[in-house]
Amino acid sequence: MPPVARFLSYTLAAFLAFSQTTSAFCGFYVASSDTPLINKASRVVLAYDGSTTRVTMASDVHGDPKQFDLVIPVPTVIKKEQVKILNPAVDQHLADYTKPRLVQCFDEDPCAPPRPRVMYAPSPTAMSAAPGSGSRRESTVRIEEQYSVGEYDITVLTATKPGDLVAYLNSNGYKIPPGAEATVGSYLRQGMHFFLAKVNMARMKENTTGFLRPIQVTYASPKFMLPIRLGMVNADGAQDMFVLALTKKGRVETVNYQTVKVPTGQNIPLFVEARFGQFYDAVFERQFANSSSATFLEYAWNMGACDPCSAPPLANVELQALGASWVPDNGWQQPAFVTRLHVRYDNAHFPEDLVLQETADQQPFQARYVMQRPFTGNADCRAGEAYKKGLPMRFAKEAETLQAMTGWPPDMIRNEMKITNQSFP
Amino acid sequence: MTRVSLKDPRAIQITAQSTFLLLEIVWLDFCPSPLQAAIFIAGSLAVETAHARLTGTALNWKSALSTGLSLSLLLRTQSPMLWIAAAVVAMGLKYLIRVNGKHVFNPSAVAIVALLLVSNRVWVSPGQWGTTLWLAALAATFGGLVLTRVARVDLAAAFLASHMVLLLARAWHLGDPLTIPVHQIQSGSLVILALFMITDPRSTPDSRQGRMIFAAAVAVLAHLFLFRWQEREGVFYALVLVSCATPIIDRLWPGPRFAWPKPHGV
Repeated sequence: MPPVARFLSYTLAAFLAFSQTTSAFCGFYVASSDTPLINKASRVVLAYDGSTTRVTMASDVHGDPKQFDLVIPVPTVIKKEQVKILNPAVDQHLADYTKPRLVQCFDEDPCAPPRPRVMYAPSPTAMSAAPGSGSRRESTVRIEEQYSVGEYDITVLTATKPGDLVAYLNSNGYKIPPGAEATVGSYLRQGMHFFLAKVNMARMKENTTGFLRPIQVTYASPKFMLPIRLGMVNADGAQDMFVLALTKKGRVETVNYQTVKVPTGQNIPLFVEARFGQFYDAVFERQFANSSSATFLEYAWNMGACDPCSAPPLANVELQALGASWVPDNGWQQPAFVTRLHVRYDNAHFPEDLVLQETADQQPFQARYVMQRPFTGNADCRAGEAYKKGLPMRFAKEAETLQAMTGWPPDMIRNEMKITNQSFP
Repeated sequence: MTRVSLKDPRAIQITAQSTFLLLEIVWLDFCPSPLQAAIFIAGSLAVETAHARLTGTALNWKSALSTGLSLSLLLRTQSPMLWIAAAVVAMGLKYLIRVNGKHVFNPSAVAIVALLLVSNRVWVSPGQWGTTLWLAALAATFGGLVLTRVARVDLAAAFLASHMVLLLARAWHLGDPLTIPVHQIQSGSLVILALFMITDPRSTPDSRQGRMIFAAAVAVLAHLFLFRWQEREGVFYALVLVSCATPIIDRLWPGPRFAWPKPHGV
């Protein structure tokens, strides 16, 4: 065989041996109990069709509306018709739909002929907010637009001197951290404008939902990015953000930071069901410790399907409301692809804003963990004996997996497993 | 048929590229599938073999292998037809577009640009290499070896230096902290591009002066693509565009023609 051909055949054989196969999912979604773990997290929905971006920012529904303000750099002047107020349920729906999920599968009766079975479980929650509030008095500050939409008073402005803009924000009651001037200056020199929003208490009374509703801003610009620097000025500790992107082609990733998949598919002990939120938080914490400058993929899937679904799929009108304007009123002809990125950022690891790109990657991904429920019947047969004998070893393996994923103390895991009848030697 | 010799810089280059590819496959998420890499490599070698048979020239399999490896490291697409197309375009254009007996474009760079322009199913993931310093250091070590031996270290250094100067100038203009340009230069894929593509001795100017101009021009154009036009794959566009000017640069600043240690008729 000539050397080239030999080389080729070796290479191919080696690479093919490496190739992976995918298998169908087992698992029914299990409704979860608890705990929103990440308290201070913000959520942004980005719908991007290649040229136009629609950014939906959820506000902190738990806070005092008077305390709410929002200061964000935007690439173009935003006019009134480019701002929309959304029903909070819609963006919450997308967040729920893309959450990490716990599923459960049931062992079959080892004495019966095989018949596969499944079920699916919960997801940790997270929520969040934004800062700011204001009035007027300027120098080089130029107010480009001023209007009200829903319960918000909105101002779009620019300035030639960043100090003036910071002074304006301060004197108008927007919470701008000291030391923000350099960052504000950088945005201004990049030709960006500032979009400010605060709550008009009089009109808030007309808002019957009782919550601050998400604001959606639309702009046409090649800048597909998320400004995070302002929020990091003088921030103590890292902040969490969920970026939910709706696109036409495929998965969204960060260009200037590595995108990493969170671990998925592991079999974990049954007791985790009661504390799935804490579990996922610990898993994320460990991943973050390994890759502190990365963004983490938690979900990537075409909206046309989910397996299992952690919430009912979004209706086309909901996708449209969130900015996926290419989605038709009915049918799946032009579905949207959703990406959920979890970003934990601080100054030390995220010096730059997030620069994003849409890839053509349509491969589905979800953060999904499996509880394999043992068969609890009699299992009085030879196969049943073998099955029962094998269980402790399986439980030990699950305990080991859980320990490796979360760093939880082995004794605690062992004790909790005992309570749920998953003892092992 | 040629033998791999450690004296041949391409042997070291291929070793370095293979190491990176293996690291990608084992280490990184969203890496190319082994099958995809195999097809890039096999496709490049197949076109090279066909060319050698048809023209009766010696088989330059090391360059073809290197092209296949570069494609595997950088180009992302899920369509098997495009894997084959990339290899064919890379090696095809190498032999179709020639001026004064030199190919004009680095084969893998021009294939990446061609596919980005004609298909929306293709992308490059500049961030996926992360900024892990040791990886960059590894690249620099391997790359440095390669380049020292082929006397193109000047081109890589000039490109990286020009790129850094522009990033620093931008940061200074915007009033940004130094951490921003330092973070921007640490892109793994930028290092790969600088070490294995821009430095292709067969498609870059012959004279040192010409190479300095070439490197600076790529850096300036890349900067415009990246920051003004927000093109994420700007460095590849810049490299291919500036390569078009290589024949002119060679005429204005002539220098001794580069040949691999043992010429194989290309």
